Amino acid sequence: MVLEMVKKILVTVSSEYFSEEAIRRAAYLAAQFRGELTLLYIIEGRVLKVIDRASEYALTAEERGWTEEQVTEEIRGRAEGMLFERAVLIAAEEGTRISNWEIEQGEYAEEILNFCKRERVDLIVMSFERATLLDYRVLDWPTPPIWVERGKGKIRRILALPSNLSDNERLLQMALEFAHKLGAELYIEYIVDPAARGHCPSEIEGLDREGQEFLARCREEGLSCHLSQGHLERLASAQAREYQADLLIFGKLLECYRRGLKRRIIASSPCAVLCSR
Amino acid sequence: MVGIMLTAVVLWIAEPIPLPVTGLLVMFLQPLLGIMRAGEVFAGFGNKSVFFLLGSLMLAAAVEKHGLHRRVALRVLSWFERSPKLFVLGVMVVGASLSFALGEHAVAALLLPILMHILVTMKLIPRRSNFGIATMLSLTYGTSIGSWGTLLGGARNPLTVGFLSEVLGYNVTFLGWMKMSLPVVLISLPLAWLILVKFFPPEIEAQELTRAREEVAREVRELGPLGRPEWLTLGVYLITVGLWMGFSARLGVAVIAMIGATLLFLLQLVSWEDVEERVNWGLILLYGGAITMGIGLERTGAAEWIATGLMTLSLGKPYLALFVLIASGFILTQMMSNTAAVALLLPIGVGLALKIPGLSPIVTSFAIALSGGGAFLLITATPSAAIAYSSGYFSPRDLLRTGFWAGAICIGVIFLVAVSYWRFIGIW
Repeated sequence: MVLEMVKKILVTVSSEYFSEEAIRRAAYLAAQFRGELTLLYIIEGRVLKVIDRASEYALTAEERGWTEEQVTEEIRGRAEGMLFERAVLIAAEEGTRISNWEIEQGEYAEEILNFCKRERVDLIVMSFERATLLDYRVLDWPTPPIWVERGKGKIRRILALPSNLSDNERLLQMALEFAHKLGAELYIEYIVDPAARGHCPSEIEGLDREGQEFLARCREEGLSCHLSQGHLERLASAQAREYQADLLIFGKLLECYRRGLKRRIIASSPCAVLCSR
Repeated sequence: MVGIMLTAVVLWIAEPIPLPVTGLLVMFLQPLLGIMRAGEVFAGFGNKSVFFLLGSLMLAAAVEKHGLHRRVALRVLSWFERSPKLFVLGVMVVGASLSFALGEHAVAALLLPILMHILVTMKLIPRRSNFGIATMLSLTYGTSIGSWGTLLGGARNPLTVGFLSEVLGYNVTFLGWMKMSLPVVLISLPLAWLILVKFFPPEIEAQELTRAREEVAREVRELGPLGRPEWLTLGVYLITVGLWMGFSARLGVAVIAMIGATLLFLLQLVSWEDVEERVNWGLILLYGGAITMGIGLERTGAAEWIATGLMTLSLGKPYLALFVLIASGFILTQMMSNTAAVALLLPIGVGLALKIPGLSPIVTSFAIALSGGGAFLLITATPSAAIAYSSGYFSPRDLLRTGFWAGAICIGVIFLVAVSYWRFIGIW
């Protein structure tokens, strides 16, 4: 059964890295799901901290304060006067509109989390760029599903990657939902990662059974699921290439594997990545 | 002394404590460890260059308070609005020429909002617009290269002058510094511009600059004509620069700087609060630590010991040694404050020059002072790069890519000017 689970989409853009691709994808998804699109623009606190730190010996506290104030004001002005205009245009091109936009000043991950605490969000859409100061630890936090756009075109093939490192309960449902809404083919590859053994035995106990259950559910839905053995981090990008996937979907990584693993998978992924709850 | 130097290197790179505190540490560790007497150490801190630095910071505070630098920036920028490439050059020229008169960081802080406003008016998307990238990168390269031009560009310049005076008894005048450094600036600036427009050819047409033209014209109009305080500040500044040009050999740069600073107070152009708001006393402490360390390394023979080690690296060849020092200056300044980088290398450079026949310690000192201002690669290497990066128009990769080539070319320019022009004007 397919559920309508994505109604409120949040696209997050940092002042450090303005990604049109993320806005375009979020707008496209909002149009497909007939969802509401909100744009959160974050004036990146880390960049302001870099000015502060680098100028500490050269400028006085007052001068640093003025500089930060002026920079913040210009960035805010740029967002209000130009970037939102551009975002509205992109949304219109994708057949939707931006219902709401907000500007916050602070650290990227924290501002996203704060927003999610305040408002209902079903899906977060963001971009990923390694050459920034941005901290993507939001990927490790318990947030709504996050779609990380990597700037590719239409979604024709989706590869779902359940594994013994993740809680796959909602993965199948989400993969079916997206495949259905986006009109994409769905492939499923269950990864048995040897890293699961011995690292946090208390949590992986019974995973084999869960894996079997997942396979059974796939069969019930009339889907075929292949099994692979190897490191999730390495296999993810390899499988994405092999399947020529436009989107990779992961289950919610168990806490002991969460630290940095998603970021590494995303960094090496050739296509967009959706981290499910 | 080598241990103190290594401690300072680690602390200046990792910055677990503020840079000026490391400067203090360097000062008090010397008498504490019995390396030098306290009187000798602190005498270095009382060097006349410290007072030149103080006076010039007060003059800069007056210029900033009355917005003279903003007027100059907008006026000069308006001369470069014919084409996008020329505009990028204009930003470099404005950044460089203002850095002849003020610290490069203050210039970057002034120019950033002006440039951001222009780019926003032109509706240029951050990181997508080559023109936006080139404009913002030209801000950091322009101010860095310009800071080489006069003694006012950065604390490392008076540091070099102070060190040469203390250690070798060689006095550098204001004009003498400019005579040495200006050719390097005048050659490096257009070359760095060529790199920028080669890597990031502006995508916009000349007519699209109309908005930038209008914006600059509007800002100039808003500033209105010069008022009495502005005229007086300009007058005091020009008199001071005139005195530096004509009389620094007789009076010394520090005395003239003090005359200029006192005039500002007498004419009530600045208050003590203005100075406190705009003069970073930490810079003076950093300077003090840097110069006392340089003198300590020199007087204890530690610099000579390090220089002996470096002799083998340069095979005893003067040109190779000079090249190694210039390259070392560029590398070190990416990792630590440029004043600290210059302070570390100056005594080593002098020690090396005294060991290698045919290499002048004056030349090595000047070359180190210039290369120490070449923080082109990393956003954290210099405040002007961090300030420009905050605009969001370029990525760290853009800076690294162009900075590598700009740095390589500037190393070449400093080296070639040193072995040819400096020899010609009798510095060698």
